This record gives sequence, structure tokens and C-alpha cells, in this order.
Amino acid sequence: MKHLQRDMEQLHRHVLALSAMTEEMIDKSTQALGERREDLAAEVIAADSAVDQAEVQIEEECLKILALHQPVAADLRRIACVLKVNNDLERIADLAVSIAQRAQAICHDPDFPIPELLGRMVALATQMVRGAMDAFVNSDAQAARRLLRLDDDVDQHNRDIIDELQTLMQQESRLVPAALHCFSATRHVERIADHATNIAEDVIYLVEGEIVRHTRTAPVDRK
Amino acid sequence: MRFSRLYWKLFGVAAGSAIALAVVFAVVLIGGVRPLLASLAQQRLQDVAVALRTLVEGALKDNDRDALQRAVGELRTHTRIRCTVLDANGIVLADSHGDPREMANHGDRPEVVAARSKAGVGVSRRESDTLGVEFLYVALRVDRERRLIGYVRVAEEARPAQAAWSSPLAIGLGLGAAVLAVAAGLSHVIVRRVVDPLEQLCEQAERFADGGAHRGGEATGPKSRSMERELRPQFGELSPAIPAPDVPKRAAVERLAAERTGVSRAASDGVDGARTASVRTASDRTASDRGGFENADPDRVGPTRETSASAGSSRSAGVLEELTRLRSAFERIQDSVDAQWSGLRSSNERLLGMMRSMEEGVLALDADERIALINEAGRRLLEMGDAEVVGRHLWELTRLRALRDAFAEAMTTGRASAKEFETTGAERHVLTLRAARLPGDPGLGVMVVLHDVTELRRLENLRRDFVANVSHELKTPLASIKAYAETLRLGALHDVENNQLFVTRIEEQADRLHQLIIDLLHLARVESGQQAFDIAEVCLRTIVDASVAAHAASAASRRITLASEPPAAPIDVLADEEGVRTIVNNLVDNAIKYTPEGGKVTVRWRQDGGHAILEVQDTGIGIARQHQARVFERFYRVDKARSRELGGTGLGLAIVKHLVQAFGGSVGIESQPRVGSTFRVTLPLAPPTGSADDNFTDP
Repeated sequence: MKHLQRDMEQLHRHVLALSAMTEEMIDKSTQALGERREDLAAEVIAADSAVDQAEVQIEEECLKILALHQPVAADLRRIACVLKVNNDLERIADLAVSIAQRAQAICHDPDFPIPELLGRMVALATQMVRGAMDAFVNSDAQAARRLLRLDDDVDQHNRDIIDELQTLMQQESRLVPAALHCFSATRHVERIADHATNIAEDVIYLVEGEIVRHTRTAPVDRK
Repeated sequence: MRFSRLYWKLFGVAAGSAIALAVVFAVVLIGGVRPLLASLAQQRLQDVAVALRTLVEGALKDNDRDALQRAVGELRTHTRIRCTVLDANGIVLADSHGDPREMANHGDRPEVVAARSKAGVGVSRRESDTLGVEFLYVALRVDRERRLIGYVRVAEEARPAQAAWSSPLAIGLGLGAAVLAVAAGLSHVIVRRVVDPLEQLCEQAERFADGGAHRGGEATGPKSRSMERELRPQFGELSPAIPAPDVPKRAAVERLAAERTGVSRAASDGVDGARTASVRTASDRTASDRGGFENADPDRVGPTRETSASAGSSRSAGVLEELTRLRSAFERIQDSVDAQWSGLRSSNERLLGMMRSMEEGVLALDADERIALINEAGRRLLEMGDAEVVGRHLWELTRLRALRDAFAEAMTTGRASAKEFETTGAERHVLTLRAARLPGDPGLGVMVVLHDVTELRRLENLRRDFVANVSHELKTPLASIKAYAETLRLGALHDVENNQLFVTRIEEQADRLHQLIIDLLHLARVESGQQAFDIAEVCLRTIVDASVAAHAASAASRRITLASEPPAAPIDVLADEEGVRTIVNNLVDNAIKYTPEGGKVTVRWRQDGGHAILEVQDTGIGIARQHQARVFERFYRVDKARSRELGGTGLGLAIVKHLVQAFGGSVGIESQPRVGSTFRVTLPLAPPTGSADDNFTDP
């Protein structure tokens, strides 16, 4: 039993380290986007391989614990949850890399005005990822449920930004390439928020043993 | 082995009671069995006598001596009982163990004398005259037709009965002695088992009370004692501050008081009563004191003092002094623990108070990366909120990698590590941290000190930018001047068409350089607070009108409408006239520069409470939100290329800001890209006097 506990603690520690790396990547990539900082974008892109390695390591650890200790009940749920959170985190890191690449592209076009809403949307998405991981650490289903509601705000921001970009592209055609980069960066941020939602749902499953995925009212169709 | 007095007491009671029991038993047994045996023997002899009487009755009547002798002789061969037949006068007719003829008259023998009486039975125990040993005699009178015809007497040696008794008695006594020995051994074992731990406890408690808080009673002495002495006065000072005992504790005090009165009452009842009562209270109190010791509750000081006061009376009872010793030792321990505890508490509070007031975040982590201690600043810097964090893993609470890396580094290498990092999230802070391993091997943990250097770094950046900007701004006109001069030298000097133009350019660039230097000096003076302002009442209208007039030409050249909208009543502000002029000129100049052709610049001012508000509104390119806060910084340009092209020094708004601040006002901006900007300056109003009209009429 001691061994299982030690392994679980180790696993927990590694997931949170991965989470720390991922959060840092989102932060840097969005900063790179908002402040046109190519150096930060390059850092994010370089960090991706470390995240990939961490993901593989965590997955192996999970499988090892499953095979060696054959955990039941809460422990089993936690392992299952870690497996999924691990996956989501890695995807979030990939999206951060994509945002960094978009940021690099936008850096070359200083005339392009980055929509102001994007900053708020990024802040919201970052807050969601952080909140989801906090809920995971504290096994706090309440906090996780509160986060689920934020996703709608992110989606709304996403639509507003896309509207703004459309107007811009109609007005000034020379800004279209940069606007397209910005458009996909926005999409990536939106996807990050979705992954944060997944993590929050996993946390609810972890605490309450109830799968809440697909049970919420379906979000309004994106444009 | 030396035994304590308690041991001897308990052992004495147990062993003594066993011996007493055995003695009583033996006395009762011996005293009871002897008469029983004797009466049994007598009864048996009596029965034999009756049988003999029946047997010899006939022969006795006939006085047939031979028949009698035969009968008794026969009995002799089969029993050890001596049978004697006497005639009525006591003459021996027959005897189983002797010759009747030689025997004296037995009529005077006590048993025969007794048998002659009405009862007809005589019993006697005496030494036989004939055989010289103790015999038991039983005599019966023999009657025939109501007439005494003789006596039969039977006798038996008394000794065999005694002998038969003595061997079981010996066995019994031996057995008894053995049982006694076993009982004594058992009492010894049981008493030792009870007393030994008590003894040890007592000794340890006394050593502890004398020697301080060191376990196992190592010779500690002076240091801890001196500490106790040191703490005692503090304790005395502190005790009034300790809150009054709450209700349950007061109840405990009352209970103790009631017990004390119980003791004194019992004492008056009698020695025994007092003894039991004080024993009971002593043990009760020991138990309650021990409870207090475990709780280590300083609030219990009150009750403890009460028990100390009553200690003397029960000590004098002198019963079970081990328990009394134990109790007093515990009292001393409790006093010293209380004193040390409150000393620790106050020093702890001092430390916590210091930590709380620190601006630096302090964080102590144990070897397992759990938070052992964190101060308020630490919580704030790491955004931990009010949650309970002590005892939790750092990696659960914050995902700042720098912090965890520093922990790992300090823990593994043992060297202090310093790092600077930026926190993530909406509000970015630049933090420096210093992590040092706590002493010990492999290390008790890591102490981390965090320092917020956001403002410091921002100022550093500002200064660096300023130096870079200033050198850049100075270099640009110089480069132009150099280029034109070079062109002239290389032949353009004689180019009549262009040489005039080149010299004009050189002049322009020199003017710009001059302006820049003037602005820099101006700014430096305002900023350093060295410039002496002539603070007076300044009429805004005069200054705005002058400024509008001065800029009319440049506005007209770009087809910009420059207008002023004065309020109904004239407004005076309290400021330096030259300074206000600079403020208005800079704002208007700025507005004209960033407004495309055909735009409009409006200057308006109004009174708002105790302030005058001056607004310069344009329909220019506007400023994006992220730049708005920074446009007042020196050399900050939203769009570097455009601004320089327009001939600005990059210092205008910085000068405005510093001047306004020097006059006790504020400056703000409202802007929307592509729509226009409004710069708003708030200045303090001049106190209302009659001079306003003079100023107003002043051209």
C-alpha cells in the first residue's frame, strides 16, 4: 500500500510539473502574440519536446501503476483522470506552440492591429487552465463546475473577434494574411479553453464518479 | 536490592495478613481437634465399658473370678484396652493386664468414686499407679436388681491418641508454611509490579522537574534551569494577560476546592477518615494534574496554583508519599512547562509579527517540499489566497517552475541559489528568489525568500530605454547635419541651385537638436524639482488664445481647423504661467501633428469642483489602449517612424505630465484608434478673488 501511495504521489507531482510547463507555454505564447515578441515564441516552440517527453513518461507511469498495483475505486479513478488530463495538457501545449507560430508570423506585420478582445480572451482561457488544474489538485468539483460556465464566455469572445477580423479584412485587404494568422491563433485559444473544460469535467468525474461530459447544453455553433 | 517504603508497606500488609490468617487457622484447628479426639477416645472407652459390663454382668453376680479373668483375658488378646472388673467394694476381681490379687483396692480411684454416684459413669485421666503412663479411665457401675454389685473399668493409654494427632499436625503446619512462603513470593511479585513503575515514574518526574525538559534525565541542569529562571519573570508578566478560565475550567477549580474542604472535614472526623480522604484526593489530583500536563494548557495555571496551595496538607498525611512526590513533581513540571510554553509563545508571536510585517515573501519548506511556514507577503506574491497551505506540497500550490527548480537545486547541491522569474497570469510580477538549504544532513528543508522587483525592473527598463532613446534622438539630426555638410564639401558648395537648400536643412536639424536639448533640460529641471515655479493665478483663456494664435499658421497649412471653446465664466488656475503655456502649447502641437489633413483640433476648458479641466481634442489617428498609459513616458512613441517624421522630440507629453504633477494636477487620455484622442489636464483652481477680471481683460 505504501508503494502505491508513493507512486501516486510521484505521478501527481509529475502531472503538476507538466501542467506548470504547459501553463508557462500558454502564457509565453499569448504574450508573444500580444506584444509581438518573437523571442518568447521561439522559447515556446523549443519547449514542446520537453512536454512531449513528460507526457509519455506520465502515461508510462500510469500504466505501470495499473499493472503493478491494480488500484480500485478512488485510486483507479485518479489514474484514469490523470491519463486524460495528461493528454489534454499535451494538446494544450501543442496549441500553445501553434499560437507561438502564428505570433511569429504576425510579428512580421507591424501594421496589423491585434484585436483588443484577444487579450481578454487569452486571460480567460489561461484562467480556465489554471483553475482546472487547481481544481484537480484540490479535488474540488465545485470549482470545476464554475469553470465550465467560463467556456461560454470564451466562445462569445471568439465569435466577436472573428467578426472584428472579418470587418478588418473587408476594409484593408493588405492585412488579410496577418488577420488570417490572428484568426487561427484565436481558434487555438478557443481550443485551449475547450481542453480546460475537459480537464474540469475529468475533475468532476474524479471527485464524484459521475461523467458529466456531453450532458451540458450543447454550446452554440461556432461560426 | 533496596526496596522503597511503599514496597515494604504493601508487602507487609499482604504477607502479614497471610501469616495472621495462618496463625488464627492453626489456633482454631489445634484448639478444636484436641478435645474432639479426647471425647472420641472417651466415647469409645465408654462403649467398650458398656459392652464389657454386659459381658461380665453374670459372672460378677456369681462372683466367678475365673470366668471374669477369662473374659478380660480374652479381651486383652484382641484389644489394647485394659479392662478391670471390681466388686462393689472396689476389690479387683479381674484385670486384663495384671494379677488381680496383687492389685490394691481400687475403690478410691476417682473414676470409680464418680461411677459410684447416681450417674454410674466415671471418667478420669491420670497416670497409672501400676504402669506409670498417662491413661484415660472410664468406669461403669454394674447394678443387679437395683443393687450395686461391682464396677467395670476400661482404660487406654492417652498417648496413642496424641501421637495419632501429631503427624497430621506436622504435615498441616508444614503445608501452611509452604503456602505462606508462596503467598509471600506472590505478594512480592505483585507489589513489585505495582511499585516499580510508580517508583520509576516518580524518579523520572522528579529528575524532569529538577532538570528541565530533557528526556531520560540526562544531566542538564544549569542551562535549562537558568532558562527557567529567565522565563519565570516573563511568565509572571504574561499571566494577567491570559484570559480568565472558561466555565468548565472554573468548574474544575470549584471541584478541587470542594475536595479540599472534604479533606479538612474528614480530618476532624478522625485520623482514619482523613487518611483515606487525602489518599483519594491525592490520587485524583495526580490524575488531573497529569491531564493538565498533557494538554500543556497555559489557561490551567489557575487550578494548578490551587493544588499547589493545598499540597502541604496532604503531604503531611504521609500516606503513599510516592504519589505525593509524583504529584508535586508534576506540579513543578507543569509550572516550568507553562513558563517555557508561554515564553516560546511570546517569542513565536514576535517572530510571526516580524514575518508578517516583512515586505519580502518568506517561505520555509521541509525536505519533502511541504510548506512549513509562509508569511503574508509570500502568500500574496505566490497568489495562494487564504487557503490553508501549511503542510501541503509546494507543487500542489504553485506551478511556478522557477520556485520548484530552486528548491530542488538548493536541496541537492546545498548551495544557495538565486533566480529571477516572471509570474504568469493577468498581473505579471518580476520576482527574485533566494533559496538556501537549512542546516543539517541531509538537510531539514529549504528557506526561500521572495522579493517583488517588478517596479525596480520597470524603472531600470525605463532608464535603459531613455539612454538608448536620447542617444538615438541626438544622433539622428547630427547624422543629417554631417551628411549635408559632407555633400557641400564634396562639391555642392558651388552648386548654386542646391547649396542654399542644404544649408537650410543643416540649420533645421541644428534647431531640432537645440529644441531636443532644451526639452531635455526642461524635463530634467521639472523632474528633479529644481525649477522654481512662480505659482500664481493664471488665466487659462489668455494662454489658450495665445497658443491658438501661435499654432494657427501650422494648422492652416495642413487644413486643420483649430478652435477654442471658452466657458461662459473666466477660469483662473493656480500654476506657473510659463508652465501652463508649455502644457497647452505641447498638447496643441501634438494634436496638430497627429491629425490628418482636414481634421479638427478643439481646445476647451471648464470648471469642475475645485479643479479646472482643460481638454485638447483631435480627430487624429488615436492611440491603441495598450499604448495609452505609456505615451507620457519619455521618448515613448506609438509609431516610431511616423512620429520622428513629424519632427517631435518625444518629450512633449512627458514634459506636460511632469509640469501638471508639479502644479498638483493630473493628466489623462481618452482615445480610440482611427477616431481621435482627447487629452485632459486637471489643474487646481485659483481661489476666487477680484483679480480674475483684470486678468481676463489683460490682452
